[in-house]
Amino acid sequence: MQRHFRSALLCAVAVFASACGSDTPTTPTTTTTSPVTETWTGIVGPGGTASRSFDTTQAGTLTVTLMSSDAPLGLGVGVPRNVNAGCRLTISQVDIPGLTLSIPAGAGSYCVQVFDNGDVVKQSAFSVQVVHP
Amino acid sequence: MTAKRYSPLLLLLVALVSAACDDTIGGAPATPTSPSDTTSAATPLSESFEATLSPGESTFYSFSVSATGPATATLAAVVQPGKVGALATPLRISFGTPVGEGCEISDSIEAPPSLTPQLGATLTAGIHCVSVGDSGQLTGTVIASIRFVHH
Repeated sequence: MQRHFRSALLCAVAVFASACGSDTPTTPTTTTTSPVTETWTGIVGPGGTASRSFDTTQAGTLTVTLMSSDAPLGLGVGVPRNVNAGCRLTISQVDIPGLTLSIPAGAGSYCVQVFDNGDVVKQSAFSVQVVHP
Repeated sequence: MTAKRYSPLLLLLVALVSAACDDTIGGAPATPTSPSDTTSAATPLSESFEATLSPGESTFYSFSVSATGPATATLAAVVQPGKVGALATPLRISFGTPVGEGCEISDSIEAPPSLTPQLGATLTAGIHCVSVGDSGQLTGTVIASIRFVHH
C-alpha cells in the first residue's frame, strides 16, 4: 500500500508540474497575403472617369489590367488627390482589354483610374484587375 | 506509513504546484501598460501637394520637420490641366530651406513621374521646403503632384 501511495504521489506532482509549463507563445502561422488581387467593375460615361483607391503596406509592383470594356478606355495608375477626390495618374494609356500596366511602388496609397479618351458614345462598362503588394 | 498519512502531503504538494502556476501570485493580473508616446516622433509623416507649372516656373511648399531624419520626395504625377492621361515629362524636385520668399535648394534631382521615392536627404528638425520646377522640358502648363515623407 505504501509503495502505491508513493507512486501516486509522484505521479500527481509530475502531472501538475507538467501542466505548469510557461505560456511560451507559439510561432504564428504565417499567412501570405501579398500580392493582393482585386477586381473592380464600373461604368464610365462620355468624358467621364472612374477611380478606385487602395493601400499597400510594402513596396512592390502594381499591376492593373483592363479585363473587359464595351469601348476603348484609358487606364492609369497614380496617387489619390488631396482635394476633389479623384486620381493623379503617374502612368496611363488608352487600353484595349487584356493589356496591362505595371509600375514599381513603395508602400502607400494609390489609385487606379479608368477614363473615356473620346471613344465612349453612351456609356461603357468595364472590369479591371488590380494586383498589388 | 498509511494512506491517511499520505493524503495531507499529497494535497499540500498539489496546492503548492497549482499556486506556482498562478500568474496572479503576489498581486493583481498583469495589466498591459500603455506604450509611451516616444514613437510618434519617429513615425514618418507622408504629405503631398499639387502645383501648376508653366514653362520656366517653379514653386515650393514649406513644411516642419519635428526630428532629424531621412526624407524622400517623389514626383508622383504630371498631367495637363483638364486632362486625365499621365505625362512622362521630367521635372526637377528639390529639398531646401525657406529663405525670404523662396526655397534655397540643398538637394535636387530631375526625374519623370514615379511611384517610388526619387530624392532622398537627411533633414534636421526645423522648417524646410520641397520644390518642383521645370527643368527645361515643359512646353505648356502642367499640374505636378509631389509626395514627400519626413519626420
